[in-house]
Amino acid sequence: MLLRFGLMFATWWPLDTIVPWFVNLNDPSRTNDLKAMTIVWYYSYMVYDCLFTILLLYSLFNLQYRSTLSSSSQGHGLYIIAFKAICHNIFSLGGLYAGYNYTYFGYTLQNLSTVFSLHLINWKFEKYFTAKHWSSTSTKMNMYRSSGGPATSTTTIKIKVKPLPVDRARENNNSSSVIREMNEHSRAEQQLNSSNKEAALNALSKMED
Amino acid sequence: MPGMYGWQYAAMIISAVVLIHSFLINGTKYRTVRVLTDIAAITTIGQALITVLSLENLLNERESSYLFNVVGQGVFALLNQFSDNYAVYVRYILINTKFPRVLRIFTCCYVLG
Repeated sequence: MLLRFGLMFATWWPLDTIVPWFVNLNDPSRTNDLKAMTIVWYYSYMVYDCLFTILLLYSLFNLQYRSTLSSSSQGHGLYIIAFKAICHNIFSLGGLYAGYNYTYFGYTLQNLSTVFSLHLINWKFEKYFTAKHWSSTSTKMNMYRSSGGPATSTTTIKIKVKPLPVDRARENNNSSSVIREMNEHSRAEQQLNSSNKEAALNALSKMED
Repeated sequence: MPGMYGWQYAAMIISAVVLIHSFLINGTKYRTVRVLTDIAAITTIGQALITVLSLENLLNERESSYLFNVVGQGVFALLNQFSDNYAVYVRYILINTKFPRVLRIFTCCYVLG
């Protein structure tokens, strides 16, 4: 069924583009044809929207459950993307409904729904929640250091000197990117020997939980 | 449908607010989503303006037909849908990093088409 509607969309736009070359759609006798094409457009566009969102969610599902790098914060980031994709879809469908039901006026509402979905949904509102998450984890980290865990004192100092870039961590919301960020700073890299690095990574992985 | 006229003005105001907010957030930085949002907001203002001009009998029938169908539908609405579809495409490609190049081009054509 999904494939059928997907194909419907694939055939709709060439049809809508090419048919007017051969048929005068301004002829009053073609009113029914125009109505039929509008119905095809409405349903096929609706399914096209859903199709892409389903594909996206499927890819996210694969990333989360089949990746070896999956962690709680990475999963958190993926959930945000999924949430945004679904919201985007809902806005698009709402606009589509308006465009279909209100001739002339509805197109503006459809455009407005696009503006809303692009601006509000893609706005990184999640950074406020992520900042809260990181501050709570850093508190945990301080407690962990003071109690004397596997991280050595040297490692503790290095992490303190190079605090995790919270802004970047918000954007790259997974453990591997945080580690990559740390590696970019050559000064800290030089000061850490291999065993300390391992301990730091362990500490980072604990922070992710 | 007199109530719908109000929505045209509301659309213009909301889009203008979005443009200003987008500028406040991003400044002069180039970001794909920002560019797409700005295009969508500008085209919405244009579309709403054309709808008001066309349907309030401020122009003659021929002028309003051309304005609404060619400029409104053919340029503004089309650009708006392009930006929306391209945003969906970009999000999909970002998730599927191992997407083959040929399929990527094909998907882009499909989405923009």
